[in-house]
Amino acid sequence: MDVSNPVSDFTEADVSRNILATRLDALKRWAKSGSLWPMPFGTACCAIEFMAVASERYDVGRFGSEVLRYSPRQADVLMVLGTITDKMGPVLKTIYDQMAEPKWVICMGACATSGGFYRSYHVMQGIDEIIPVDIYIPGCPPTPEAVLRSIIMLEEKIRQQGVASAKREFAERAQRLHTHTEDASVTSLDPPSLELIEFSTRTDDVNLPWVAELTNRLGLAAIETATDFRGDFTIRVAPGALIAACRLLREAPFSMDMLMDIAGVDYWTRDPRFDVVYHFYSSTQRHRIRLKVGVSESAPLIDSIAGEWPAANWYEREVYDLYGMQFRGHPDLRRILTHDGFGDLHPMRKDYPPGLRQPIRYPTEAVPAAERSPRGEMVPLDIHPTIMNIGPSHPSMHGTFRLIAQVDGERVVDADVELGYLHRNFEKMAETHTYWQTIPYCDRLNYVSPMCNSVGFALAVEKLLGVEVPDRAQVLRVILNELSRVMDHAVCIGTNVLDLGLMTDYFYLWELREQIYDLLESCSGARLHVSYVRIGGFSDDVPPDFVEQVRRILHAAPRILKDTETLVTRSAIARSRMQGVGAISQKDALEFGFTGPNLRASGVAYDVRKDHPYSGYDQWEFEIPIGRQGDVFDRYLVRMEEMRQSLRIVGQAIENLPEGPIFWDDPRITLAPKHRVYTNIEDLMRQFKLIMEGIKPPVGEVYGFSEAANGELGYYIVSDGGGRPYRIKVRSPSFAHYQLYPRMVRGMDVSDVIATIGSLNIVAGELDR
Amino acid sequence: MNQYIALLIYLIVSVLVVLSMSFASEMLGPNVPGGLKKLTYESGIVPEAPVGYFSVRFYRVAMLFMIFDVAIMALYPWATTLSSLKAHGFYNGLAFFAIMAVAFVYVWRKGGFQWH
Repeated sequence: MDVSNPVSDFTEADVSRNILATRLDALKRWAKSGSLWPMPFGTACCAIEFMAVASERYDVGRFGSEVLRYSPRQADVLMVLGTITDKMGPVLKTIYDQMAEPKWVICMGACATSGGFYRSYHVMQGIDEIIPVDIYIPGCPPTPEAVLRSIIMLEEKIRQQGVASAKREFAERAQRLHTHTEDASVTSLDPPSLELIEFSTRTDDVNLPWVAELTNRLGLAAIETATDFRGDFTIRVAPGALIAACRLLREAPFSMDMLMDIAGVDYWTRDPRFDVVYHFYSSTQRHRIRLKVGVSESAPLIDSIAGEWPAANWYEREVYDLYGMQFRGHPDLRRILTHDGFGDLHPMRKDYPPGLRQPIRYPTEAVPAAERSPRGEMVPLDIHPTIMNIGPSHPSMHGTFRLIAQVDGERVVDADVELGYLHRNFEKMAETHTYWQTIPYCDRLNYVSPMCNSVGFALAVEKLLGVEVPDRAQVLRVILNELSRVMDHAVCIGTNVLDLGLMTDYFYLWELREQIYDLLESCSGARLHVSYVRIGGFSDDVPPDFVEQVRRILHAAPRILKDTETLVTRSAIARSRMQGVGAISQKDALEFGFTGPNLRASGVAYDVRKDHPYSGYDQWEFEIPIGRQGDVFDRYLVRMEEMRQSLRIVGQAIENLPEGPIFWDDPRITLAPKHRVYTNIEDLMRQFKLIMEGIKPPVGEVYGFSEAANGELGYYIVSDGGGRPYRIKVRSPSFAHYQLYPRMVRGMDVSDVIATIGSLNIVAGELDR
Repeated sequence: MNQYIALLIYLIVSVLVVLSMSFASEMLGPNVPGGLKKLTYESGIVPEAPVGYFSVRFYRVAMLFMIFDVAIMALYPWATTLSSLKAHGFYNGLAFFAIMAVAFVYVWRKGGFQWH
């Protein structure tokens, strides 16, 4: 029968003659729609919500889709979950190309759809630049219900699709595949007009005993200035004296044993144009010092301190990558976060437009051996090495981490890691937004426990402003922070044991997480990215049944933790997989700037909540668990105990929740309540000024730090007195943890490599920022 | 004789099912070859070089797996017909177990289940 016949030409006879064929076609489409095998391509926050879809409350198994296939050969629905960066683009395209026909693509979340609010130099502005999409799910992140709806929609789409249209679509797709491969995405934006900022740096000379000591030992010419702003001591040293100063800091009376962070700052109207800023911490003396060195634009050369402080290796690579500083004597200076397409451009420089992306080459065939990219310090073997990529799209690498392992059978002989697959430019975005607008970006750093990040950021800005939030806000912050920590540890343990093959416990722990989601949703309206904290307090008060809800969680949590105890701690199989694997010595942990549960598992009792109490943590009773071996099992045990301690804090705080305001009524910092904005001119003006111009902190710079779920989360904020941060550098705990990883996995079996990576809790959002 | 007819029917049906499934997917499914489809899947990275060799230890693992896996396969018909085999069949099965156990213990003691 000719398909172009209009419907009216059909006779009853036609229909009865063709009834079998139409039913067969419908049967085929029905069968096709009911046998969807999803392949999750999870990169960011959306993947966390997808985990909720796969767990017990939403149960994607109802659609026959619970078997998630991490191989393009076995799947026909590619689910793109989360931000796709330009670096990740080729990976996504390769996987799509490797899938057999027929195939469909579900695109989850604002980032994958359009780049979301990451209008930045390293984020793809929608995956339809490289692959066709069938269903878009809006939201940031979308709710699990929306994800389930998308599967139903895809089934409907397949059922409605005739044979002819399907064939046409495949032909079109084949053609599009071709065109997309030819013109790789190049988006060029006009560079924004940058305001010229006259930069004045505060120079209150302080008379610290250390300064005198440093000057004594280094010579008067070495120390240029020494300042003290809000308790942060900053010493500017001459470039020639940097290595000597860094060496000296290890000795008494400074006894610095941790290099926390290295940041670059671009003062683009000043000479020397750049500053390289080093943050040191002494875990024995509990004090910090900030070292600064100026670097000129014409000769961006600076001595590498990687010989003295091994942890500097990655940090210096990052500064090189983003600012183009050449570190003399660095063992392995190459890009770390951005992709190779940047050439000699360095995107964090102030004259680099925030949204200017660089072209990237898409793979069309296997790269011949002659064109292989350099592999760092890999040792050549006398036999043929087998180089195997584990990740980025690998479930046990949690989607965004690439381990390039040189394997001899099952044993990893040498390894290198590649990160930056989720480098979505938090720092550049923060420079183009006001302090308030930065809070949603902060939520998405460690997207497993968003509250901890935004509270940390608010604390840092409050330190810069020199304000403290009201008591009620402090206690609420403690409660929500600790529940977020529980949430984070639950996912860490759940996925770690899931990687080891213990699936059941993941579902139990996820139930705990769902209960905390319910609480967060009733407070802020969002399950995951709450954006609930404001600088100076909270956006709104908690709901009336808040205390009731928290008590319910406190009641339910111990049972879930007990189940985990039974399933994992007492399981001989789990223990044999975890004990003695991936041990980190106390010395290594300190040397590489480990913080949080990973440091404590190695036996160092450093916890910001105890050592530098903030938000009134000193008024609650809790203990810090310490491990002995520093192996995977110890990290698991420490996290388990921390969850109990967190619940203990929440239990005390909820019973002592004070009444009162949740933010100070300060026209320079906080918005007025809406009813006042609508009724009087002063508050309307206040709203207008704050929304349009933002909070204007004083000129200065602070390092605000708090104990996030993975360790010390620091924000180094430079303010030029304007409404937007001049520079924010995040000191993320994960970045420090994974620096040691390639060294750790040498000599391990592949199965232990997997156990180790999960136990360090990989969260790419804060690893790559 | 009758039971052999059943076996013949079983063979014919199984061959037909396999053939029809392979041909149905060949005929009904769209076919767009080319691109990167034939490349090794390495978590989305285009492999840099084809693997030159496989460690000989994989051979040992595969062989041991095959031996013990096939041995387990033999237990299914034994278990389903155990009621008709009576004590004689039961003890014969146990003897088979014992031989397997000797081999298993030997491999275990030799460190055959260890990678190195």
